[in-house]
Amino acid sequence: MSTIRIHLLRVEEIWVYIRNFPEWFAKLRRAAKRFNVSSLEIWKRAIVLRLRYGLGPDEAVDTGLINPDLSPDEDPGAIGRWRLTRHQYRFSPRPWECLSADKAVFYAYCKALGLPVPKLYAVLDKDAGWTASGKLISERAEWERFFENDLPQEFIIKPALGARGRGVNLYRRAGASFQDLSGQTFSAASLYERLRTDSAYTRFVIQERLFNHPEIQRLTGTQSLQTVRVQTWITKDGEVELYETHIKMILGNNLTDNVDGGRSGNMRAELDMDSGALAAPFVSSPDGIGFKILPVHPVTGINITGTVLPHWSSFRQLVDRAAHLFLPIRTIGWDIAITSDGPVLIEGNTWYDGCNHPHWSLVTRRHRARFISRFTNEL
Amino acid sequence: MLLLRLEEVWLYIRNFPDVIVFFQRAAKRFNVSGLVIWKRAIVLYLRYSLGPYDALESGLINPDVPLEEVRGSIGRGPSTRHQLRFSPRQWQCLSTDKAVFYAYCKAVGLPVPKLYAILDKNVGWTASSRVISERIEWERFFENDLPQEFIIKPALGGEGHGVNLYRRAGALFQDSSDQTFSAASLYERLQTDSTYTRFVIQERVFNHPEIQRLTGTQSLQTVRILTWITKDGQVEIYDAWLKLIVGNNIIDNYEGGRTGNMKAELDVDSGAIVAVLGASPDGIGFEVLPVHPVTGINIPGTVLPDWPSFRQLVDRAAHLLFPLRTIGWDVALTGDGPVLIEGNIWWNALNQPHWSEPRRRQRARFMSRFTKEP
Repeated sequence: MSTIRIHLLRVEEIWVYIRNFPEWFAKLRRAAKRFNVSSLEIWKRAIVLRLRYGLGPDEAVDTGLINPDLSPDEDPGAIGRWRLTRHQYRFSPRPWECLSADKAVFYAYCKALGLPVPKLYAVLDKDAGWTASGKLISERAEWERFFENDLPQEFIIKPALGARGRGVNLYRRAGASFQDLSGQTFSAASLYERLRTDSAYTRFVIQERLFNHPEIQRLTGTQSLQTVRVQTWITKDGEVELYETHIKMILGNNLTDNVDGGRSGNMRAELDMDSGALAAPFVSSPDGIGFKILPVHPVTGINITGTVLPHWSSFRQLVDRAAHLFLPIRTIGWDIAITSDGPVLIEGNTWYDGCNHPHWSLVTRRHRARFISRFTNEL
Repeated sequence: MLLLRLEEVWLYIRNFPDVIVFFQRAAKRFNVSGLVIWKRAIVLYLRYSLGPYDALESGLINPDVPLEEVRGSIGRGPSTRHQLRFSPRQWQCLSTDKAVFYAYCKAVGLPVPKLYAILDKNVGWTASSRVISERIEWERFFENDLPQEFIIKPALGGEGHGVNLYRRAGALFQDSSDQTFSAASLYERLQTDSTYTRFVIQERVFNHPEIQRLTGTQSLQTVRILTWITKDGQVEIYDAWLKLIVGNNIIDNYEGGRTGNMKAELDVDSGAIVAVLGASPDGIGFEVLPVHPVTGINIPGTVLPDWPSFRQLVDRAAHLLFPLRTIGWDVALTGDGPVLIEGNIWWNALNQPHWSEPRRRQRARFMSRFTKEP
């Protein structure tokens, strides 16, 4: 079955290439202009990146790896989205996808295994839902009573099957009403209606709002939750290997820390896997080609480079445990919040993208290259 | 779906010689010509999607059974195709992987057997979520952390295959076939199993004393109940029966009669046993037994203990395993109430000609809705 899926993925990939060709053509022309080289040279580079690392033209441009000044012999440890997904298919048996893809299942499963997750208040589904105590709720009036009486001052509602932060909302009580992040207010009845009539999602988790460790809040100047993304892979010998680790940092009024290809304005900072020390943050370059390294955090003005994140050893232990406990899913991109009570699992993603760019340190670049070689060559 | 149909066709082709033999046997049994049997079989297939084996095993091949009375039946192949519609693949592990099933049920407050550990190919974990990856740690775990009796079964097993009961015998462990193992050889046995790589180690559960008295066995017998959540969110029940162990079996699976075990049709509202069905000696249909063959007790009419709790549990469980919309639950009635043993997204119907008229009508209505919902 997974072979069929992989073939279908290849077909989809070809179709995406054909469909997006005009847009990518324009992107590559822009890159040629930016780097002051001929289009031919950019195209040659794009082809090499595609053949060697599976990077599509869009990825090559977005990550900045299209830059012809970068040595072609320096393996960035990169891997393109489609190639990565094909390998993820190999390591993530489909019947187990819900363990990570469905947040309702993820939270319940983690809780059962003693893995720290946000407190789950309820799961609201199309025809029925349930509260954290396992009580079933199927009637509108019951849901309204639940909203009115059983939720705290602030809570998060997010789609159980959402991705990239889409559909996530923060609600605060405002008297008898609930106010969301955009300032819209809802009664219990209209909140229920909003969720039931959502055009994209039918299943929602209602969970506690978490906060980062005070040190992270101080460094970044925001109370919105920022998570560390770490990608794990369990080898056939049962060892947990890490591909990459970075913290996703919120800028502006964003509630979620997703980078979303640079569209959100959020940024990232590489983390030393062993020490938890931050490297300089980087953000999408204004022209959409590659990234810009920032010397200081643009909001707080603090030079965060070298800062060690709190609870790092607990973080590494948690990642190791979680990776094993989620077998037979062998590779996961975890989003973990570092809170004052320690690390907390927010999400496990069986489909994750690599954080490809040319700014990794040499040590990290070599580590990534070794990882990708083993990851893609394991039979 | 298409692959399933192709697989079904291939099975018919491959088993055709066996089918000819069975049909000949059926013709002899019912004292009719082979042609009559073949015609009946074709009608059963076209009208009720009952394949040859379904028709034989259920006894519905009997030409004396009015076709009216076959309503509500469904063959294995078609029922699987519908189950596939109602069980999104990405959620299948919630029921097919017993390790996940138990963890998830525990998390949502559904009663399940106590889980001691999961042993996987490279690594495993105990109920306290301690990860174990070394042989020596597993051996220590077996020696020190397990009770007097425990069950080990494949996480992905089906039809009771691979289930074993272990008892401590001094420093050793004795299984249900009296083979003995040290902690080291038990680990070796599991690690070198040719079929399975993932095992759950769980408590041994016992039936309610009343069920033990009626059936004369301490081995666990479960109620199989088939649920379906309609698009309006209602839980509907298709069939329910108690799986009865006969002899020294430790598992209650019927397996086409090959195990010797039996089934007792249940009234889904009252929990009363309606009839006890054993495999007919020639493999064609069932034999209705007047008393339990081991205890000699006349069990039809007996109401199973804790039935209202059982029904409430099934209703809750069906909703909590959503978006899996149809499940064949195996539920043990114990001295402490009902306990979920398994949830099966692939289940077979209990097709047979002995249903009462009201039950037949109810099954027919169910099957009509189940197969027609878009």
